Amino acid sequence: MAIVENRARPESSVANVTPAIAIEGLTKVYGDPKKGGIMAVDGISLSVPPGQVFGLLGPNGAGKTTTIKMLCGLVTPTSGTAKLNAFDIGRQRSRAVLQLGAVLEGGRNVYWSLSALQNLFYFGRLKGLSGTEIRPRAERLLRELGLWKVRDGQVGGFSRGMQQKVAVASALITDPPILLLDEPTIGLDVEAARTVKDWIVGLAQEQGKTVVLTTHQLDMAQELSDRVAIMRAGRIVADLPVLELLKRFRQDRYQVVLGIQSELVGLPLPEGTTITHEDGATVLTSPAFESRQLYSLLARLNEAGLPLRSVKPVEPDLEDVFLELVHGGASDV
Amino acid sequence: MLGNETVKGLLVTWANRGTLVPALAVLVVFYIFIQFLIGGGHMVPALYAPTLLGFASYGLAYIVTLRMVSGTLEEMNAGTLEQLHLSPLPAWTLSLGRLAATVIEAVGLTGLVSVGLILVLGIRFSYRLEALVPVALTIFDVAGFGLLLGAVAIRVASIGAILHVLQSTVLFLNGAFVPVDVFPSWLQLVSRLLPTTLGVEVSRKILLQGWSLAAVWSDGSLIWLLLHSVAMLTVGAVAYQHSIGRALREGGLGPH
Repeated sequence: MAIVENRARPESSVANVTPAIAIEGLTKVYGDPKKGGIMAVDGISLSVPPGQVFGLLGPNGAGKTTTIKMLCGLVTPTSGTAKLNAFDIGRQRSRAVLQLGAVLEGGRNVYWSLSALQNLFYFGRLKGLSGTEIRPRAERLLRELGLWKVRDGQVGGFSRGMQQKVAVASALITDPPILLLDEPTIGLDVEAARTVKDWIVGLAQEQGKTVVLTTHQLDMAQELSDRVAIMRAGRIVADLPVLELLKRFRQDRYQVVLGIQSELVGLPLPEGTTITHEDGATVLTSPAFESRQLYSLLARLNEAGLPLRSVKPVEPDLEDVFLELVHGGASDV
Repeated sequence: MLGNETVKGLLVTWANRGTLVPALAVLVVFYIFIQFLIGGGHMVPALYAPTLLGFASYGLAYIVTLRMVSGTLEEMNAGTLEQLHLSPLPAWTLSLGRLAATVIEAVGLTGLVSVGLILVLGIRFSYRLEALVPVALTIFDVAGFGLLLGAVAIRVASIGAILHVLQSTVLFLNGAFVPVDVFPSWLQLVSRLLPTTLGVEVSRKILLQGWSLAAVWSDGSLIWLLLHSVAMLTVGAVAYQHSIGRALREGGLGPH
């Protein structure tokens, strides 16, 4: 059973706050459940407080996109509930969808035949805004994203990064408190991705928006997310603040780097040590051992005349945790 | 909402105007080709007016079905159909908006081609306001047909072949080439199930033969057109809503 915690905010500060997103027992079975339908999402529950950047990770087919689409009301759950700022997406759809903006994966999300400004007006009106309400918001968004000068240009002629910015701006035209971003930087160059990432951080930290981020770019998830949930086969196998998750998977390993490439033949090494070679250097990664064992190893390396470049503890990153949870058979956390 | 959808549809059409002019030119050339075909290699002025009514209604059905099918598929693949359904408005309102934009575009383009042909070829009708009734009913009929095919497009991505067969069937059987009366009875029945045939027949009676509305009502042709339009619109709307509902249950509004 997964242990689900929420430590991104002190309990005292979130106890009386309505969750931006509250999911309870959300399940989706494609096809007829009685005839062996496909279980895409298997009874997940989670709660995301306002202002949090929440990373939803998992391999292909884990159920991330189905979960996101159920939150958007674009896929009807087989059972369970999803609430956006306390509005049930199933029973109070029209109120619930006003709480969110979404950039979904796999599509353009905006009309390439229209200009950036026309897209913002269209999507603003689609959600009930008037032209006088849209204009200042559109100008602010387009200026912030560096698109104001090309506001009348057809989006189809924009670079991929600019098109994605228009999609994000369209999702934000109604100033929704919740933003769902499915692979928001996929296909973007470094500079455009940096702009979108900075913006995501700003949306949460400066504007207090709740951002749900699904991505395969784990470095980005680690950089941006306050908290991540990892899905596997439709279930959440980890749901913790990023630092807490990394701490759980810390293995107290040390890495000794020698400034020479060597197989270290005949040199006694602690059990479990792995040897790799990088750029002419030899990297020994050893499991945790007492400090006297480390001194002993270093003395042996010194006696062998092997030049020492560095000694440092190894910290796991989100990719290590992800691989361990998804492929390594680690138990749920 | 209707205005927003319509404006978007027209803006998209205008943005693609580079392909619009050749498409309109093809329609004009196609009409002239039909005249040569049914005139035995000659342009026969007496055939212009009766065939234009059939051809214009074909053009209307062609544009509406094309937009409802290819437009729906394009929006699904672009992800904009999903974005559309993130609106707080109910699905039927969104569908109505899409349909309104499509019909306005189709009526505008078909009207443009028809007026051009009337002016260039000097085609004469006895213009009467009463003709607006069958024209309006035909538009409703075609709109229902478009919704029906749009519903299929949401479920079946490879609908292209079906669409071409149906569009060609409308062209050959709705009276654009020859009057439906010359068909064998079973083919007349088939042709009158199509969305434009009854409208063309009633319009011909009013615009070419001088019948009054009362007369076309009395002989039953207007009643059949009314029933056909209501039935087609109802079936199309129900099918489209059912398709959208099913796609929402199964996540089928996104890219195929």
